[in-house]
Amino acid sequence: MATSVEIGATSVTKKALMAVSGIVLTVYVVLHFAGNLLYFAGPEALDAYAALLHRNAALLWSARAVLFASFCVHVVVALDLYMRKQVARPISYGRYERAASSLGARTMIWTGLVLLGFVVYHVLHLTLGFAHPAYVPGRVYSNVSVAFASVVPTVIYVVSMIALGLHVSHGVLAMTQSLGLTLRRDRLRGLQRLSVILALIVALGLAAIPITALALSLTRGR
Amino acid sequence: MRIALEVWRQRSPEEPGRFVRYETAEASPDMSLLELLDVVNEDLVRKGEEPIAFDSDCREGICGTCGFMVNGLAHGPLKGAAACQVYLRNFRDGETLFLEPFRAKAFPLIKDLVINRSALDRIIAAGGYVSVNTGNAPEANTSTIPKDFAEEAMDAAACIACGACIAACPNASAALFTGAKITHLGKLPQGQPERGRRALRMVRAAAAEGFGHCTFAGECETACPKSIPLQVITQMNRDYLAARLRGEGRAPTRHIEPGTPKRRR
Repeated sequence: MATSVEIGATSVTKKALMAVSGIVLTVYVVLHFAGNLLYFAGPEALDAYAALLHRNAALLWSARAVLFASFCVHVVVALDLYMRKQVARPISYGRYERAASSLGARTMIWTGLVLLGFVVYHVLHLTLGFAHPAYVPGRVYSNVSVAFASVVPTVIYVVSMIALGLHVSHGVLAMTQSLGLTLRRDRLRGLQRLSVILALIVALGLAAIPITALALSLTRGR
Repeated sequence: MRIALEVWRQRSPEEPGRFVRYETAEASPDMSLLELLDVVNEDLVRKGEEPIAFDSDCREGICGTCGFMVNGLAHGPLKGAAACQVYLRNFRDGETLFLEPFRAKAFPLIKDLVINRSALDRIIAAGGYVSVNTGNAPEANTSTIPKDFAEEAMDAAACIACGACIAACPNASAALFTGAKITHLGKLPQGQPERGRRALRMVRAAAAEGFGHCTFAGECETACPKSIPLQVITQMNRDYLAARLRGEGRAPTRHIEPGTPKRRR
């Protein structure tokens, strides 16, 4: 109860915070996905794209600040709400079945925790270059190729992208209702499909990069 | 037909409860689940044991008095049906049914399958009303209502306050119930003056009762014996957030004492 008082407000306000920060994170994931697709266009295209992003330091750091703030809000409010769940039902059911929840909805907190760990690892791995065997700033393509030449990081990334897909598939749907946006049933159905399709595209597209890099290094090594 | 029951028995809120197994060969496929409990209870009374306490009144799905978990599902396996509308033909022969009370912090257990749902009454009292003029009844059809709005209001008004939405919710959220009340009145012209304040007060009342948050998993809609749509939750969020953004109920009172000098000296 103490934590909820600090953040204040009812669960509707907290869910609105989750939704707004979720929108920022979703937009970022889609942009990041679109940019990363340049991996398939070859080393020059990807490195040029990376250089473009770093050209305006002020813009880069303000984008990072917004992202970091959204990420913190999303994580802190999610944990606060999750802890309130136990408070709302202190004695759990002997038998309890979920008849309607999608896989994404059931696993939201767990995929969220996986993504929290992944984001920390990902930043250390490919942004800062710690936990990387041969990191050269600015040489994005070669950094990626070297990073995914081994199996363990590739597996971590692919599992995390499955978690991302599940998280987005429910998150995109839930954020619209948290903000009171989808009042019509037929539109809700469409949105449900849209969020699953978006999740599939983003997760498959992003997971394809480490898998391709691993496959390329394996064929080259042979 | 043979049906075995595993019923949650708890003499009082203070004492620990447990599942107790009851078997009966007297079950018929045409019996309702509540009638099976009646048969089991008659047997218990004959044996001089304490009968199973459970709530029921109309037994035709309109009053909202009955309700418990059947094999982990609120009101049992059927959509759009309260526990009293579930018949033994809806189960397999030889099946074991786990009957458990609705569980939430805001629903304190009284005995066996009986819980105290007055938290829902307090949510309604917080804002589930409209202001009307006293005096003569207004001319019929004075305020016209679009057909779609009337339908949506009616769908929401079907709520019988049984508590199944809360029981089925993984977070014990009262969002479907509160949303139904807010939508029911907020969609009609008579409900407009208090619309923002109603959303604020009912959502806050639900939070104060200790109900959880909504994750839009959809369990409540499936459990609801009146099949109230999830959109009522979206409506609740919209009305609540709109009222918050407008700063509803926060307008500062402005009082100027008559006789105060116009120019500061």
